[in-house]
Amino acid sequence: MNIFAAIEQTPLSIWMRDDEYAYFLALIFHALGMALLIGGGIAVSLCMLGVARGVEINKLGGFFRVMVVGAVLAGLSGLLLLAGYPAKALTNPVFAVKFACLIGATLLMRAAARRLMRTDARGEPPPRGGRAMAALALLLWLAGVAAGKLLLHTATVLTVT
Amino acid sequence: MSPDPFFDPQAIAQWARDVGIYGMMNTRWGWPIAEIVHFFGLCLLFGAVGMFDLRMLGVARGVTMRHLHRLIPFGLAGFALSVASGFCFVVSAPSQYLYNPALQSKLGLVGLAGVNMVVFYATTSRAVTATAADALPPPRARVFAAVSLVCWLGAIVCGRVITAYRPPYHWCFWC
Repeated sequence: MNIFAAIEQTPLSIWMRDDEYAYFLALIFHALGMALLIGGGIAVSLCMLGVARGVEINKLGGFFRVMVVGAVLAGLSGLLLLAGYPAKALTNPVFAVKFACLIGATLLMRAAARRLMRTDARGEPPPRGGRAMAALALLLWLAGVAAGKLLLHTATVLTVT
Repeated sequence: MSPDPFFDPQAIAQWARDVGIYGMMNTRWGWPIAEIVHFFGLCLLFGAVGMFDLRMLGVARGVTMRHLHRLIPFGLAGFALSVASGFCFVVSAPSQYLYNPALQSKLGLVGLAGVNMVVFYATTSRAVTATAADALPPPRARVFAAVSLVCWLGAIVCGRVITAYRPPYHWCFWC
């Protein structure tokens, strides 16, 4: 708890809590970043599942870049939100679930994309494992959304000071 | 009698109680589950429509728009989820939502996105789906894509701000 108290006393943390606009602006950028990250993730996962027949997996790189922009935006704004109320997030196990889902989805999608891009480049049919990974990634994106929305309703501590 | 000539928040709330929506939303997990469905719908919508818009603007060149368009039904399903859950929010607390400038702006942007989509399909979609994988669609298609992206991202921003504008503690230039 001491570490939370120390963070809460920093000028950044105080500004995030006391300023009229800071927290809401961070929330807005977090929502936009998550929409780009998860929206892109859902689109790429669906393409890898073969829903958009005819889309070449090799050509989806541009959407990965959109996801990276979303991840950076969500990450930076998330850090600001965390600075404002560190105990609120870090004492809530759902926060760990959200992180695990999003990191798991990202890693799975990367692995699935590598597999599918290899076979796609050779003109071979997509491997089963690649599609299963894409399906699991899709589920993890959705679980990440659910965990993120549950944060507000499951937090038991707001601040420790 | 409500002073509002268009809406009667008390009658709407009573209707929500009568049909069970209010009761469902006010269970322990009713509101959080509706929030999850709402944002999940938005992500699905943005994943399909937003990525198609970005492709029209030149992102991910090489992806054929005719093929990418097959994701659009998922976007429509996402929109339906968001509308259904959003409806539950509004009828469960009508006086909090109906006079909220953030919600009014959000609905305005969604309406504009809808008009933009109808005009796009009526005038430009054929030219877009006929565009080669590595090419850019006609300039007017890119205008439709930019308007669509701005509307949907704006709707996300307004949705996020709704809780900051709880009546009667708000200001906006038309309030």
